[in-house]
Amino acid sequence: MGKKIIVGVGDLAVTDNRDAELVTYSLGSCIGVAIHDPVAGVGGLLHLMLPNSSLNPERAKRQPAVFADTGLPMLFKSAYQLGAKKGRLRVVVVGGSQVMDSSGYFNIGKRNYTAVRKIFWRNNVLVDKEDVGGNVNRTVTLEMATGRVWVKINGKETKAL
Amino acid sequence: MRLVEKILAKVDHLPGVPAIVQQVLALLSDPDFSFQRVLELVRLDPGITADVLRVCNSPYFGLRREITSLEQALTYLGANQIVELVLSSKVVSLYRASQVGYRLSRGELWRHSMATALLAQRLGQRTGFEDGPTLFTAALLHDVGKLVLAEFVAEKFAEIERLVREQGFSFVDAERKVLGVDHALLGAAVARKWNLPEPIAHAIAFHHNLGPATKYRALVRLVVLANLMVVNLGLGSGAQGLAAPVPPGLLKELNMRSRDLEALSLELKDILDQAEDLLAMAQ
Repeated sequence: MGKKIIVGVGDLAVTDNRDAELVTYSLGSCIGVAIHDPVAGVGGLLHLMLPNSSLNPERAKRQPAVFADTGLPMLFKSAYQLGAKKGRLRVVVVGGSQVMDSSGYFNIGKRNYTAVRKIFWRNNVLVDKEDVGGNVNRTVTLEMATGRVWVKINGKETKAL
Repeated sequence: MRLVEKILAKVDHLPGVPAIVQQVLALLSDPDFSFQRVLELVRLDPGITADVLRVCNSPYFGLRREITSLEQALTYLGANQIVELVLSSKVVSLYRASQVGYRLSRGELWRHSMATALLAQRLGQRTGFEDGPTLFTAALLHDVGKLVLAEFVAEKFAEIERLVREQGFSFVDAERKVLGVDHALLGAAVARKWNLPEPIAHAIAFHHNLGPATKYRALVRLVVLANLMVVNLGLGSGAQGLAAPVPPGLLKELNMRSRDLEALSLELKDILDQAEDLLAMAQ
């Protein structure tokens, strides 16, 4: 196994190291977005927490990866800087689950997912695979050598997306 | 012996909480509370002072100068904060194990519990909740029942998981259905066994189920919300995942809206970014 790059909550990382693995732990309502360009050998992983930077613009400046609307552009731009091309990127979206709230207030996961879809739609980005929603937590690994994305659910089953 | 009796018998065999925890909590509930007496107790246990000073100097507290004595720490952080750190430094020993049944590796349940306590502390300050140390301790110990229940959850895991997956049970409800008791009720039994103050036992018992908590309700709902925020972030939730129930009416009672939950998530990120010394104490 190669170098493990851990992406924290509300953070992102990109790499062109084909031996590396990008990992982010415990996505609950947060969303992990993994992108990978197999030709350039460039990949990135974002762990966003909240849909919209209007909540706290100062924070968005300091930590853009916290919000979908500032984190996603930064993820893609950082990958382009390493040589990735938009048309070649494989995009995987994971997370956005919820605690069990019949009144619907605790819906950060759902709103995160809606924000991500909207931004992708507006920018003509197609999502190749996704594993979202439900009442589970997910750990995501992007294997740079193959571009494969692994999801571990509730600390147990691991599946490839 | 019935399963639930077997589980309750385990509570009797759990190691006791260090005496100093009971003593400090007892001092707090004394109307003539004086911090001097806490210091006297703490001096009997040099390990505590070392722990407290180390944590005081962590980035979380953002102090510009190095703290080298408890008196100094008192000046900069205040009595409540010091008391909370003292309690943490003693309680942590109970959490230095993995809870395989919940798929929590060593230190994960502590990380979850400490994040909950720190967030509850902030919520308490914001909402004017007066008894900070009780809130902090209740939040820190809310999942103490998992220390006992883990092995039984492991035994019956397939049944519990089936109820959660196929029948939409929350994890805590599935525990109660399969095992006859859940980690919240069991945790309250542990707290009572340790002679912890009743408000703390109460908050532990109802941290998933605000409904019946009419006494100490202001305390309980802060613990409920702090825990939900941490679970929502997937932090140390292990096998339970996000299958935790939100008590009906919780946000209304707290006069909060969805947007407030987002702001709280940012505070939780600050805790994760800055309080690693506290979060990693059990590793």
